[in-house]
This record gives sequence, structure tokens and C-alpha cells, in this order.
Amino acid sequence: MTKLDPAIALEGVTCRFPLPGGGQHVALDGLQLEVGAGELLCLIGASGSGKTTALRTINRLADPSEGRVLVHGEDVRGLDPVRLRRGIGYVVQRGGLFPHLTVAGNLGLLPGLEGWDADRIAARTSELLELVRLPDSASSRYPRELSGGQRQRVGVARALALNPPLVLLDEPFGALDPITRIELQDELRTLHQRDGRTFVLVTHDLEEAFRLGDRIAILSEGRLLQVGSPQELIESPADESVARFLETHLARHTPESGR
Amino acid sequence: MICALALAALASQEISVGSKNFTEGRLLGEITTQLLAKRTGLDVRHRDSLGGTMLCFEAVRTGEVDLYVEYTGTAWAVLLEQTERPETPLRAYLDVQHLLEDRHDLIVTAPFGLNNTYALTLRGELAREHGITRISELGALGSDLRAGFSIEFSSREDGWPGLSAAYPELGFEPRSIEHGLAYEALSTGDLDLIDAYSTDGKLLRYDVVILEDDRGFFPPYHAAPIVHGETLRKHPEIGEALAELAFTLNDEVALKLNHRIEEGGESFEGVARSFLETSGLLHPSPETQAPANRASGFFGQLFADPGRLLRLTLEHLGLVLASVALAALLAIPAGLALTRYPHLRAPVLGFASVLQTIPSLALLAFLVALPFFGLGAVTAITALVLYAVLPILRNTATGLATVDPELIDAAHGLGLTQRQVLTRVRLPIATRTIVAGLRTATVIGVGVATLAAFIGAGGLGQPIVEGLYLNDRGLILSGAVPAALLALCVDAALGLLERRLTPRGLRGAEPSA
Repeated sequence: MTKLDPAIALEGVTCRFPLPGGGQHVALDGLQLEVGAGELLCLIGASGSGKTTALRTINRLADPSEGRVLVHGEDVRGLDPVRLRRGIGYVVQRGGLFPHLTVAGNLGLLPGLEGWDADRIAARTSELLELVRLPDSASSRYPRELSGGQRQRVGVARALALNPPLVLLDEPFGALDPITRIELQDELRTLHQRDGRTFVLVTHDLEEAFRLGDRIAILSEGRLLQVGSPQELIESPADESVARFLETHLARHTPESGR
Repeated sequence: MICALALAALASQEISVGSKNFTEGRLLGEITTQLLAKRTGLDVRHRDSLGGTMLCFEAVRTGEVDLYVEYTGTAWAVLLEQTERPETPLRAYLDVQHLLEDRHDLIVTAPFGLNNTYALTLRGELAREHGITRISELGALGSDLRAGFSIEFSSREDGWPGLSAAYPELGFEPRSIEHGLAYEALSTGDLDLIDAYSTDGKLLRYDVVILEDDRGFFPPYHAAPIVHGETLRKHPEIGEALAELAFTLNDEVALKLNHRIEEGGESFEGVARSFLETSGLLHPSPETQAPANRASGFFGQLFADPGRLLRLTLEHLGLVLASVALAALLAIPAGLALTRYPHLRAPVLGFASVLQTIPSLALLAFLVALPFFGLGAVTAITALVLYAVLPILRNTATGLATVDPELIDAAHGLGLTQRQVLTRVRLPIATRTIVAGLRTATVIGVGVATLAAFIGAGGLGQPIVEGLYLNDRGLILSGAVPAALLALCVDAALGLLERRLTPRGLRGAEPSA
């Protein structure tokens, strides 16, 4: 893959959080990572590896103690967080849908705040539903009336409402049953290939990372162990720990080829 | 606006007569009111059953009422905090007159003549069985005697504390009970001994023996009006009219008048008028007939005057709604602020909880004594606000704090501003919990507001308070039952509102707190 101007760059990012009993927790430790435009990058690691924190530094839900984060070449710290975030889609585990709003209400929330008129919002809502393959009739339903998979589809659609070039997904399929998960993974792939957006997806599921990722970044204790395509990881693990990680998490996996 | 009101008040020359919260106190207030109205031509209003000694005294001291009828012994012991027994009834009267004028600019006018002293009354059967006629002979009954004394009597120096010192042989431990219920307890045999007023109309109804105060402990209690000094200077004609009442009543007459009201079911207005007429102070005037009889029984009381019932209910509702609205204006923003400063949450909620634990009557009495408050609706509403704050504040704070953090994170991540996260996500989700808090506050308020009648703020507590003093269960119920129904209606109405305001997507789900 040829490297264009990266959509996202994390340059020596360190994140330290004070612990309640005194002392500090180091979530990220000098992380260096680039995400190319149009790429789908999977961040993977065990709990506490810093993968979610890394994702959150991109839309300023977390600010680095040291180092800097560039989005489209601009240091995010110089940007208004609200403006920055409206240009970046955000999907959380279980969808994070607002229970007091209908599907249409959830999808139309950001366009409404951006001052779109009702017709334009309605049109965008149908478009989004079609994009995530939900019927138009779903728009008047409330989140609790939807299945887990449907909720997550709405969550993805909501993230795309303002048509952002960049989408962050934090374990989006973690809470779904295996069949639904695979179905949604396939659709996410299709969606990504169709629009050429940049996706950064956090997961702890190596199979998911291998299924979806153009490249996979393996994190451990706030540091990057290795980043590369699934092929590169399998063929030349950077060190013993990567090899062991792949081995334990990918026991029954046979890499797909010629994707 | 306030100036205009003050001017209007001056122009109307309204004189208000307070009265203590038992039959004779109220009757003497009514007699005084009727006579003053006739003699002075002023607009005289009787604020009946104002409250106990301290409330009435505070009211006349501050000019909230212009006068009320007090008893010399009470003024001596309670108001002036004298511990020595006065040598003679005249000495007591003159000392009280002198000290009240000196210390508080209050004028004691001529006494009515009756001496309504404290007395101990023993259940008749028990008295005959043991041949007891004097207080000192009670010692023979030892600690088995079941005594129930009114709350005032239990704590006043001229009541039980002094009495037990004067009669050290008395070996029983009295309980404190509401005086209005004491006779009933005596007649059912639940109590053996109670305190009574010597002119109490109920003495004629129950089988009781009034015990002789053989050591002469009880000081004299001559009834006499206490007038706000300023009022008397402005309207000297009031003094002249009050002088006409001097020595018009003796103990026997007072006992009979009280009896006519308590047992005969006659109205205060009617008995007062007939007294004034038979003693030659007023000419009989057929065109202004006061209602002769009080209604009797629960349904009789309830429907005796539907207009009054409606007025009391509206008054009651007004007190509650005004106070809950004010409390919401305070507590909801405070609850919002607490989400910003979570470390203040515990102390603020703790403080609100402490307010909640103050007994309502104590809070009312405390507020009444403060300069700005005094008697009436302002004080009642203030007290109600203090009680309503906690449920609203707690539910607002909890409702906002317990919104799923993942939703708040998602909202921030999508690019909602801090304010939008609050107005678009947290508040709508917390609405139901907040409304539930309003509902709790309102229902509590309907209950607490019945106490407003103790400080003259009206409402459905008024028949309850009157019923307690008159020992009239029908009258008590005619206030209590509508109050309970009102609580149920308000609860149902707010329940409906709660469902209305709950977003459809949250209905059926468990509330977040």
C-alpha cells in the first residue's frame, strides 16, 4: 500500500492519568502511529493495552500528556473539540443510541444541531437507513424496540449522518452474537470499500481485525508492538511477543488471501 | 405596590383579635371581637385559634394581631419566666401588667373576672374507690397511676415540673398527650389522671373528680386582654370598650358557656352574642343572627358549608402548589449545579435531609418568631418549601447522575456541546425521575400543609385544629378526609403528568432512580 498524506498521525503520544490513591496510570507510552487516508485500521490489544485511549485522542475525548495528534495534518489541540468531532464519526459498543429519541431522532440529531432543514434531514435519514440496510419503517421506532444488531446499524448510520471523512469505532460489534457480528462485519467492509472513508476500529478480537483491517496495529501496555497488513503480521512477526499473541489469538485462523 | 397595600391597610383600620387555641380562649376572643366591632366602628377581625401561648404572644408583640386574651398565671410563668409563686391574685395581675408594659409595650386591660386555673382531674371510679379528693392523696396510688398531661402543662414551670416539686410524694411518670384527646382517654380508662382547666366545659360531661390543690400550688389564672401598645395609643376607644368587659364573667358562667359550645353544639358566634346580650352589653338585634348551632357528625360537618370546604381546599392546594413551584425553582437548578460540582453533592443533599427531619410544628414555631415571617401564608409556604426541596433536589441530582455514562460519552464523541449534552440527553432522560420527585414533594406537601392552620394560614388543617380543641371527631374528619382525598387526587394527577412527560422510548423501562 502506497502511503499518501496520512489522515491521522499520532506522534509520540503519551497519556498519563492520575490514580485516585495518588500515583499515575500510563495508558499510552510514546505511541507512534499513522493512518492513511481511506484506510481501515484495526487497533488491537488486550484490556489495558491503551487501544481505546489511542482512539479517544483522535477526537479529543482524551488529550495527550505528551506528543501530538494530527488530523488531516492539523494538530487537534488547536481545534475546537466540538467542530473537530462533528467531522469525525463515532460509534460505541452497543450503539450508544439515545433511548428517548426514535431512530429518526437519533439519526437527525446532529444534522438538526447543524441547522439543516426538516426536508433535508428526512432525506438524509432515509439515505442512512438504506446505507445500513434498515427499512424506512424503522425510523419511527425507539432503540429498545430494536434488536442488538439493528441498534448497532443505527449507531453506524448515526456516525455517518454528517458524512464525515473519518470514522472512529470503539468495539462496535463486541456485544453482538457471532452470526450477527459476521453479518455486520461484512457490511462494514462493503461500506468502507464503497465510500473510501478512513476507519479506525478498536477491537480485542483478532479474527475481527483480520477480517476487516487493511492494516492491524497491535498494542501492549501503551506501546505499539507492530503494525502491518494481516499478511505481514503472519509472515514476519516483529518479535517473540507478537508471534505469541498471534498464535494464542489466531489458533484456528487461516488468513484469507487475495482479498 | 407594597406602599399601596400598606396605605389600604391603614385606611381600612383593620383590628385583628387573636385567640388561643382552646374553647375558652376562642370564646373570649369572639366576645371581645363582637364588642369591639359594635363599640368602635372599626373593622374588627377575629383570627381564631391562632395557636398556643408563645405563638399568640409573638403575634401581639410584633403587632401581627392587636390583642388576645391571656391568663395572668400563664403570663407570669411563661411569658415573664417568673419562678416564684405570686403572693396574691391581685399581685400577680399588677406585676404582669407592669412587666409586660415595661418590657414589651403591651397593655393588660381589665380582667374578665374568671379564674381558669389548672386542675388535676382523676377518673371518677378510681377516686371513689380510693376515697381521693386532694392532690396530696395521689401519692397513695404510687407509680401505677397512668397520668397524661397536655404538652404545655408537662413543661411549664407552673405545670408538672413545679407541681411535682410541691408534691414530692407523687410517684408516677406522666406522659405528654394532646389535650383535646385527654378526656376521651380518661373516659375509656386509658388514663387515670389528666390536667384540666377549671372552667373546662367537658368537666360537666365526664365522670371525673377535680382534686383539691391542698398545698395551693397553682397560681391564679385570671383572663385579661393583652393589647399591642401602639394600637391602644392610636385607638383609645378600644381601651374604653375593653373596660366594659371587666368582671363580667365568673368561673361558673364561663364553665357553662364553654359547655354550651363543646357539648351543646352551639356556635362560638352565637354563644358570644347571647352572653353579650344577657349581660346587657349588646342589644338584641334580630337582623344579624349568628348561626346558632355548629353542625355535628362527620357528614354534617363536611357538608355544613360547602363553600367553606371549597375555600379551604383551594387554600390548601394553593399553599402546596405555590410551595412546590418555588421549591422546584430552587431545587432543579441546584440539582443541575450539583452535576458540575459532584463533591458538593453529599453535603448539599445532607443539609436538605436535615431540613426534612425538623419536626414541622417546630419549624413553623421557629419561623413565626423570626422578624419577616410572623403568622400566615408566607411562613407556611416557606416551611413547605423547605420540606419540598429535598425530594426534588435528590431526584434531580440522582436522575442526572445516573444517566448511562456510555450515552454521555457517545454524545460528547458525536460533537454535542456540554450544554447540548445536558439539554438533549441528560435532562430528557432524567425528566421522569425529576417529575417523580415533584410528585413526592407535592404529596408530602398536602400532608404537611394541614399544619398551616396552626399558624393561621388556613387550609384543610383548620377543621382538624378546631376539632382537636373542641374534642369533636366529626370536625377533625371533615378536614382530614378531604386532605387525604386531595393527596390521592394530586398523586394521581401528577402520575399522569409523569407518564406524559416520560419520553415514549423510556416508558415501561425502570426509572433510573
